[in-house]
Amino acid sequence: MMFSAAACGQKEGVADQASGLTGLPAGAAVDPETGALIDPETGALIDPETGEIIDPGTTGGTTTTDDDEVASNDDDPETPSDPEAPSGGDATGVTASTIKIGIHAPITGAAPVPSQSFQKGKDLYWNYLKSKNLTINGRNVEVVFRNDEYNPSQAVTACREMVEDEKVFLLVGVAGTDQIQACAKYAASVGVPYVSAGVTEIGLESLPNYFAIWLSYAQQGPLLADLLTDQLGAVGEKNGFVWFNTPTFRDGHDSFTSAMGQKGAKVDYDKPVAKTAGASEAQAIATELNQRGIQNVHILTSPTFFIQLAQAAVNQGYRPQWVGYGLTMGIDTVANVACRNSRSIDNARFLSPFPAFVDSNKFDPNFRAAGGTDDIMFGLWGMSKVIGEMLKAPGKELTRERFIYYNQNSKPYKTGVLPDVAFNGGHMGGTSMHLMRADCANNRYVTEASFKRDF
Amino acid sequence: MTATDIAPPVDESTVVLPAVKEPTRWRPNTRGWAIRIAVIAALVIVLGVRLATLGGLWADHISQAVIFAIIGLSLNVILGYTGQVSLGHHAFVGLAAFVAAHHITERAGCLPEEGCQYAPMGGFAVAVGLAILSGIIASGLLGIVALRIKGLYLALITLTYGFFAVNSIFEIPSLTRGGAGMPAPRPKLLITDHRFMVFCLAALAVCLFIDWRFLASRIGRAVLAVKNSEAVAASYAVNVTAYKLMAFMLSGAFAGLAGALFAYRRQIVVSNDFRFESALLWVLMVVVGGLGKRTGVVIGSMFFALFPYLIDLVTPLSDFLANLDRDPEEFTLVIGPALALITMIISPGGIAEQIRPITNWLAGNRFTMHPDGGSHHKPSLLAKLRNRSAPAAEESS
Amino acid sequence: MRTPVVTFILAALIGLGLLFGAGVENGPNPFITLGVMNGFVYGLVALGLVLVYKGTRVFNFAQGEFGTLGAYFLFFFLTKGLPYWLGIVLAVAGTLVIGLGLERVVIRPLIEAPRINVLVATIAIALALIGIEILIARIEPRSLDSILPALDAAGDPAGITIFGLTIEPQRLIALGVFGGLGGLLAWFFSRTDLGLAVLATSQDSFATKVVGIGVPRMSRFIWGLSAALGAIAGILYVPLTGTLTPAVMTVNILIPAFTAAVIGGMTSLPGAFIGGTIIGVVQSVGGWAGGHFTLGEQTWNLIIPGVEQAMIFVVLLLVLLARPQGLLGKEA
Repeated sequence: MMFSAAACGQKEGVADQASGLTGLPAGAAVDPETGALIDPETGALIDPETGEIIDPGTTGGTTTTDDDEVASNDDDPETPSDPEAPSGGDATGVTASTIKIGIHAPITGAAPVPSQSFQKGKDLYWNYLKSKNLTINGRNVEVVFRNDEYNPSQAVTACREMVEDEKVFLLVGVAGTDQIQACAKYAASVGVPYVSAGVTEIGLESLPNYFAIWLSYAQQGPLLADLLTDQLGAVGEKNGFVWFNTPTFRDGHDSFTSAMGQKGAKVDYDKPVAKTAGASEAQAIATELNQRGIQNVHILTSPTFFIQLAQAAVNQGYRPQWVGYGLTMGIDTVANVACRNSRSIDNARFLSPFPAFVDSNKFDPNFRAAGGTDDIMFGLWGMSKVIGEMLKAPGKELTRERFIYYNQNSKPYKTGVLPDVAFNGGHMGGTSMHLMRADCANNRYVTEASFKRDF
Repeated sequence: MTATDIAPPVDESTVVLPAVKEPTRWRPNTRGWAIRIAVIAALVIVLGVRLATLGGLWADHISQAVIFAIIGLSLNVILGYTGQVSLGHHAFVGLAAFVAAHHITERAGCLPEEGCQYAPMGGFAVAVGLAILSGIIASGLLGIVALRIKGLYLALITLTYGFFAVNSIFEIPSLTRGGAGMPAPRPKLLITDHRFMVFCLAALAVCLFIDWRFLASRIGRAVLAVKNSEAVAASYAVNVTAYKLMAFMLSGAFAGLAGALFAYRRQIVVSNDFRFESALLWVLMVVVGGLGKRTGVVIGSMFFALFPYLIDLVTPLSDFLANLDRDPEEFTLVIGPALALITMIISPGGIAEQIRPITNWLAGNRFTMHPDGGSHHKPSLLAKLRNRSAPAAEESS
Repeated sequence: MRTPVVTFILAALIGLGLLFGAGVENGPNPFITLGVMNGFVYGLVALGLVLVYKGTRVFNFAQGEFGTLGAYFLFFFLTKGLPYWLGIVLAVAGTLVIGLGLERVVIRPLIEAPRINVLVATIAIALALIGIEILIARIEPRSLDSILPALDAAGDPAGITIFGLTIEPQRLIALGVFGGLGGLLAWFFSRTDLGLAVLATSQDSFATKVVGIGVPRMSRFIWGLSAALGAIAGILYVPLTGTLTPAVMTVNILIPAFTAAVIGGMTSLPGAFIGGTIIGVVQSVGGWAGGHFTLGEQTWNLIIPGVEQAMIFVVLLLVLLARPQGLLGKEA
């Protein structure tokens, strides 16, 4: 049932090199909040006096505490020797001492990410590496950022600017399916590698430059159906699915409904909504859901629409179990807005690629030590760790062609925040997800389970 | 130069406007003409060289500005010439953009997901034609509605139409691919931003020419007469209905062309591109440019489009905004309306009024800071916008 | 004279709808109730529009943003830890001051300008207010607290249920406030000297000057009053949507409110509420029908998106084409 590093046959990280403390598990670190120690193998919190496990933490997930796992300060980096690997190629954005990468995300639009957290979070991990004198094969990473306004055509413009003006080595899409799809296609047309959040697979799985670093929606569908049927009692209950009617959600839609069918659960209310829908549509849909007595609702829309829908529902005294895919619904900003007035999303459960901010120390204490102050930064931290690994893979000779080749055929990346990433010759690297639960008493999300492949 | 400034001599046999006797005009001598032509030539060369050496991104920005200018000209026909207000122009432009994109992908069969990189030239030409046609039809329908509903009520109709189109029509997945957007690949000839910019500039030139000829024609003068007073115009045997419809259709044609260019500029069209804020901003940019004055409208529209990028050029300003964590684009929504309000309160003629001394001089008149005091005095068109109940008598100049 | 008749016909139609709807599975009844509730919000914003139109013959496009502004003011004062009632007072006062300032700086200089110029000016004001909201408050959604929460301490719904729809306390309060304000204004315009003077200004500004009523004073009064009404509408409505974002009232309320005002005839105060009810019910029942006849058969390719927006356009177009003076208007 549960996923553990060993079960996956992964190489142990370098995490068990050295922690200075004796008599404790190798690589243990100190939780700055509680003073407890963290077991790098299980992520459990351990009382330093008694050695007892305080918090089993992350059901068997991996935790890293040692920087060496991701970045090395080795002067003579080991260059992978693969006779079939391309040599040379396009090294735009790479100098002797820096690698420039470009990120696009919505900081305005229907799914706005708080811009200050984003501006700070995008550099947090790389600045941390710099402060520790750690590098990616001798190079530091520099990040440029453009707002895609939650609009695919703006996303293409943003990505073009980063490729043509800023000459970035690769592009990163953090959130927003349509924007990621549009930008990834553009990136493919100009041969720029694209590291992506797990979203749709439509039109992306065949792009040679595309790398999704967590489960796509189509892969999350069965996982969510599993959660609903095994844990939330969806079999025999009435289930609904409200989703933005965009072609890029079709695979996420179909995989969920068919997985529900296989689990013996019915989707009684299947409602596509226009992406431009507002408060009046939210009211109508809440009324429909309520009238039909739907108990579990899978929601795949923008966070703003979700908040409006949840509010309209709670106004009618109707409180279904909300569930959904990662990542934008499961961020603390959403909980903060939706919980404040009437606790409309209490106990909502969303899959997520990274754990809740409140639990960040269980997964990587370096994050808060480096100055991380919210979950957006934590997510970016987690993504940056994976990207760091990916940039390291081709060795010292970093070109776009070698980046693509080595990442498709690399060993799994274990970073402890995001679930392990393994491309196995393909483009979808996700292996498992975290599960978040809305804790409206504290206006935030908490991590309910970690590194789950099924429930 | 603007055609409204130099009204051609009125043919006394077709009584369209109350005849205004043209006094003998002052004309520059040969040297005066030479200087004027030299200045125009120098301007053209400097601008041409600058445009030819632009970087790709700036070429793209210029394309956007040119598209705004065409939209401005389109709105100017309705606002400046017919005296009505359209707050739904984003819907006309958007409809044409989707028509153009839909044709190239679904009809001409250039699907990017099937590896189509360049749109076929023939399909592209048809797509642009269809986009213009769709603009004409949509705007013509509005014109028919405008025959019965006018002024504030028409403005309201156009606004609700805009909301309906964006939220309803533009969200039908089989026509527009919902939120993912409809791809609109360019033909190979226009694939670089430079070439596309030249194409846009050519389109703008065509629009300017048509607009100029339209206003100078009998129809154009009739439309202006209708705006000033339908009753008076009708009594001079002007076919009010037909001329009004023609003005709306001309506006629609411009909007349609702008929509097609809009689609091919970004090569993907999404309903989110057409927000009601844009339609309102477009109205304001025409006001700032100067209602009824095509030179001013073009300058005003381009300024609105380029404003965020211009801020970026001024390093202290852009640094200041970056420190505040603010995007220059966010200021467009504050600066644009503020400019419009200042224009309306202080200088209703807009940019056109401010540059009047220069355009007047270039057009072969004496240089004077107060061209309005001259022989070609006309009250600004904005001042002439009157509600339907206002007496028509005070309109004649 | 026509008002009671129209009101009666409307009430009878809604009653009949509820009667027939009761027999339908997943029927329209909760939607009809919801529509009536929304109609009152539209009605209050329409009231502000009618007021400005009565006084100055202008469509005020900034009316919606007065509401958003009021909501942001309240949000700001609540985060400063002020009690809710004081927050409301300050928020209404703040919006009032801004309304008066705009009247002085923008509207007064244009008092002799053509109506369409003033319309464009109010559009500019609305856009500028949206722009300022984005600049200061950012575009990310905020949460504005309700006066009373929708759930009681035990987590059960705190509202009352009528015709299959539970109505939360916030909406009940809003209903009371809207009804009260409507009555107050009706009394004011028909029974007080000032109210009659305002009407006189709107009829003939020259005549009122002659009899000694200052047009600037009237203009100031009308804009101040409509800004305050707008703020109240925003403060009461925004908590119902769950998200406070820039332009929230313009996007969600202004268009239906305009349509309501036009249906009511643009000059009639009860007409604003009747128009609001009509547009609210048509919109909501349209949304019900759009979902009801397509759900459950995997026919989502057939769904017309944005039925709610489409209904507004259709209703407005039909009303203006068939009866440009509205149901209760004296003139177009």
